[in-house]
Amino acid sequence: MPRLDPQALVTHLDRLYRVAWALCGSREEAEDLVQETAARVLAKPRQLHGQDELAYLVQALRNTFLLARRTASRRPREVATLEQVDPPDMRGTGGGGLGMPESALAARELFAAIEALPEEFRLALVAVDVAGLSYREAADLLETREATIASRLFRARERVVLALTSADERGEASAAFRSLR
Amino acid sequence: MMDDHEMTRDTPDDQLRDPGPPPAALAALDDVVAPDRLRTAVAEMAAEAQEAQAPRRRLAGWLGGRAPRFAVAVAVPLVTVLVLAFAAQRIVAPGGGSSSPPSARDVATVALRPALAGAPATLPGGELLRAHAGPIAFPTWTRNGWRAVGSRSDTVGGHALRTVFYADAAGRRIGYAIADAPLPVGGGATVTVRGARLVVLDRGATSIVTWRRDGRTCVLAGRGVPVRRLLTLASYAA
Repeated sequence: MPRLDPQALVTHLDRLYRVAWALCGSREEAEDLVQETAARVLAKPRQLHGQDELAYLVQALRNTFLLARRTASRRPREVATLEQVDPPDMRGTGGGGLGMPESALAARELFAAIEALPEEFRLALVAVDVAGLSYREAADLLETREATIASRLFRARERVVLALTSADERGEASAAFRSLR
Repeated sequence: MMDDHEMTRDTPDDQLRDPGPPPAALAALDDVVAPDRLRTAVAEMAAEAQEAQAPRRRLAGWLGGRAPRFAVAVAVPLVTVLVLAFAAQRIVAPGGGSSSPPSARDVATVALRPALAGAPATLPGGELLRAHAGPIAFPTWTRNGWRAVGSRSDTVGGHALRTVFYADAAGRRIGYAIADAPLPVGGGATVTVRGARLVVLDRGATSIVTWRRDGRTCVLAGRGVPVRRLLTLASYAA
């Protein structure tokens, strides 16, 4: 039975990163999720059981995501308060205030729109449009029928396009408002 | 307005609809590539895994071509067990030698152990020590009231671990350990300090904070040290 080539993680890294970002909604968490998945997958030789390498890795990524989400739901997410942190020393804190390229902003908006989708729609869009799986593979992954995938994908795309269009319109409206002042 | 249930329902009508090609709005996805540090980390992990799996594959292939199938079923696991038993004698294995990768908590266990070597020297400039784990140099932290008092090098579950120990004026001790791979964190509470994402694994009698940097797992641990002190130090190091 064919085994997963460890290098497949490197080959499909960009796709996996996009899938992770779409699932987590955060670039930083996406990085952690991909690393965590790689650590789990590479811990021992893996048999593909007739699956395509990419489909196997997307499934592993999703399982790791679900596991992390379950664990996180049992522990409250904290943000450190000022009292928890000592005052800064002489060193500069750096960072902050950096401009963001337009393409990065577009990607951020897009991932935010994907993250805002209902779970079923989001998973269908992530499997097909982000991961690049076939309808068949997506249906296997999400344990549903191809027709259902097609249906959810249609609605997911519709909502994402609508969300992005609305954002643009809001931008235009605020620009027009600014020009009047 | 439709309710949530109605919105996510797959109607028979929709199931017949072919969504066709993805809309142009999704084209921005193609511009998104994994950051270099993630690529480096995953490439390193894949190379290590490939190297680790190669002998097993070669042995299985050799026996499969020259011996009956049962030889593969018996010899491969037998050799694997022998290799693991040999390896177990040579490594520090807080995880008990299980096949799962060590976690950040395993690294913390080492960070709480005694030093086995002296403190690394301070580099000119006074900010860094003459000790590093890959591209990460250990800081002096003297401005924060800590000084390096010892160090040790270990291997945990096949991963190299470098630890430097620090002490403050009150005699409290902390260990800063860096493993050569992004190991599973395994729970904890995520906090953000000065933009650095840190995970608090333990707070109380023993405080443990972990984070990832340059494809490595960093852990700061101490007994009787408030977690806020560790968070402050970690935010500078992350």
